[in-house]
Amino acid sequence: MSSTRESSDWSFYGRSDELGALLEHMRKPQWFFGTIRGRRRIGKTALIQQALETLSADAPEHGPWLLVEVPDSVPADFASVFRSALAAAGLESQAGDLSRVTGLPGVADAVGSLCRAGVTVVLDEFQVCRRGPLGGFPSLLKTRIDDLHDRSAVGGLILLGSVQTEMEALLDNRQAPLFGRKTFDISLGPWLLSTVLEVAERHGAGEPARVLTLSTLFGGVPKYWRDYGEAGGLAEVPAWSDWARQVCQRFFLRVDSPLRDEGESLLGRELRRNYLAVVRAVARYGPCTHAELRDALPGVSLGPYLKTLVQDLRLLERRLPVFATDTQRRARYVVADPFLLSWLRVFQPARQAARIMSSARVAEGILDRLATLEGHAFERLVAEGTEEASRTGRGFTVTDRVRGYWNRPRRADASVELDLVAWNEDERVVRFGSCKRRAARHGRRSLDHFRTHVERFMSSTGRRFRGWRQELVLFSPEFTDEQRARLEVDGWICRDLSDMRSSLSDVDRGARGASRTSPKIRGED
Amino acid sequence: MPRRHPLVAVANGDWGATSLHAVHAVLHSAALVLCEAFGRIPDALIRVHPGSGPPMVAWDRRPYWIRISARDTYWCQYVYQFSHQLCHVLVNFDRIRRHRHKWFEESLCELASHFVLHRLSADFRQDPPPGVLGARDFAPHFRTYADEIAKRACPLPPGGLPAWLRENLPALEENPAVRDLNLTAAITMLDSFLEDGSLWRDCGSLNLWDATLDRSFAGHLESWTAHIDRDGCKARTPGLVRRLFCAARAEQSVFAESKRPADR
Repeated sequence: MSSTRESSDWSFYGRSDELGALLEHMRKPQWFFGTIRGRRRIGKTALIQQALETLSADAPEHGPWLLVEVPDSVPADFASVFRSALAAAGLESQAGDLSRVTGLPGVADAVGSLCRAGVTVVLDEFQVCRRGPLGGFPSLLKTRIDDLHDRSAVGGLILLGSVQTEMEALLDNRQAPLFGRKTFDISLGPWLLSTVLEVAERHGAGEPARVLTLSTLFGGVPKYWRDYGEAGGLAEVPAWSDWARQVCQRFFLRVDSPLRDEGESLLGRELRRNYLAVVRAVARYGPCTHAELRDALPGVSLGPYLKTLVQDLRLLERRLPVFATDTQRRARYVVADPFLLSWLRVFQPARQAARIMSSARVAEGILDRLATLEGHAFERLVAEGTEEASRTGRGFTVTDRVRGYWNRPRRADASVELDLVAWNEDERVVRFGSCKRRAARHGRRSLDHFRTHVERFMSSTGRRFRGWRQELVLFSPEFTDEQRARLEVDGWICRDLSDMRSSLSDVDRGARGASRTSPKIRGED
Repeated sequence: MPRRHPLVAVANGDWGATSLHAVHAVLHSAALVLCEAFGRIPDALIRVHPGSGPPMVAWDRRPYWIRISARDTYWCQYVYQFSHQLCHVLVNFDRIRRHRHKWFEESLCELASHFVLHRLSADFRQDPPPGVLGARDFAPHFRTYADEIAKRACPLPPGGLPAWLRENLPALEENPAVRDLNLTAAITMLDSFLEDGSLWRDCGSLNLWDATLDRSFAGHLESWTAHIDRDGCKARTPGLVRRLFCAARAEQSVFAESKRPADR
């Protein structure tokens, strides 16, 4: 895999809402100060590049822009990085007296001068200014921002940040110098399922089993999908197992794999000491309860770690069954980021093994572990797809978040485990879902099991749904016609990824016209 | 067609993943088609805004204020929604706000959407607007989109369009915007208008007299004819509508004076 980027057929996918909002702000004839937040590789810079490309059609005279990645170092180094970026962009003449850009005040002054000259300044990884040697920079910036708000009709400042809590502390905390000043704030999450399906289809991975595998590995993170899209040659591998082995090798195990160190890099930025042990345990045993984690990590006082990992770092998610209150002790912990989960659970151990075994042999053993992860990933896809289809008015309309249900009964024969509970309060319809990674697993025993659990739910927590219409839906990545016919004749509703693609498609909006993709995103610049 | 002012302005807002320039190019192309067919341009600028509600044109606003929900580069949807609203403007929708024959205006506006989609399918192929990337390749999609929507029109009963109208007139008079019914009426007129786009010229005279006094649809068509003739022109479209919607024998019952009191 070549590390030098060549022109590709990669495009700017999804993000229509975010791009539309950003463009609306940038088109206004006034100076702006905005933030874009989201994890690394989520496409913050690409969003700005695409916005500027789109904007160039509306206002060719729209000013230049400057992107500077704020280094996690000392003020002098930041000033040096800033000056280098200015030189590379040919904007030195608009930054005022360059000889003064030697420390934080000089950088702040230069930002002010550039904005007044109509330049859009983008400061990436701004969260490093939260503390340490660059901690004074937000206060210096505040003065310039207030001045620009009052006096400038051109230019803008956009702060990008990948650590949510640090950005919140810098911008949303009432005591923070930049509090209450931003004109827009965009939070970038993973791609929607409709975008994932579109990208997979367009880059030769539209087969349901492959969509599921790639979603398990990459979640909805654009950069990882781009690595796949640019890898080349994989779409032609006919059998899923060969293809999956090759994907694992090429992206994670070989010496030139692009994602080889990605997991460690992500965790290294966020975690220290025992935090990593807790995240690893959740990856290994999750979804797991507090008690299960206690058994896995004896001697570790879990409470504070879990609180930080869930609330501050958002690396873990604390899931509650439907209708459970926050104080109930039925929560289950999972690793929130699909990429991190697969990396911790599958690839980190595999990479250690690959030090002494051939990567081909290691990849052999990976598929079984991947299968378990795919089961969980499929449940996530179904929940996300159900909510997205509802939001766009093209599927079952839900009036509350889609969640699963489980209980903690004293008697095993009273246990309830439901993958999906979704309902429509207005039409009094409740939908229960059972998700299986392989359609053949929706066998007689599994169906009886599902029905029994629905009945138990309805006779306990689900009593509030009495008198409502019930829909029992079986989800799998793919149903054959024969499987579908056999199940539907007994009243089950079958939904696979192809059905979801249809319900999420824009068919009623007609064909989508072409749009110009930023040369930087295409890899041409 | 003399132009005293720009036809269309695209307001800043959340249009999704597209430039205002491209949106303007598409809407302007649609406006040109319809204005050329009507033989005139609106008396004020049309300002188009993005929004998530149903497409609409506001009463008594100059410049005209149109909202559409199309976004990104779904050009067919832009043309479909905008042409409908522009047609309201060109048939003087806010001169008289309510009367029982407004269903016909709604049906004409639906017809305008289809008419423009068909025309742009040819125009984009022959003379693609420079502001729209890939316009020439996109051209056939306009026709496909129109055809897909046309398929949703209800089949006519054995008695044809006159029987259909007899059956549905009370509902249409009650609620002028019953989309399925408007679509059926529009599709029955489409071929004639595509064949002779100048039929739109007569439509520019709608709503210029007190239509609340027209107690039947036949009376409405007669008033329309009289209004056009009074201007020294020869009315053609009212006759076409009469021929399409009314069989000779059925005319009396379909177009008989309604027992409903005149709307205000």
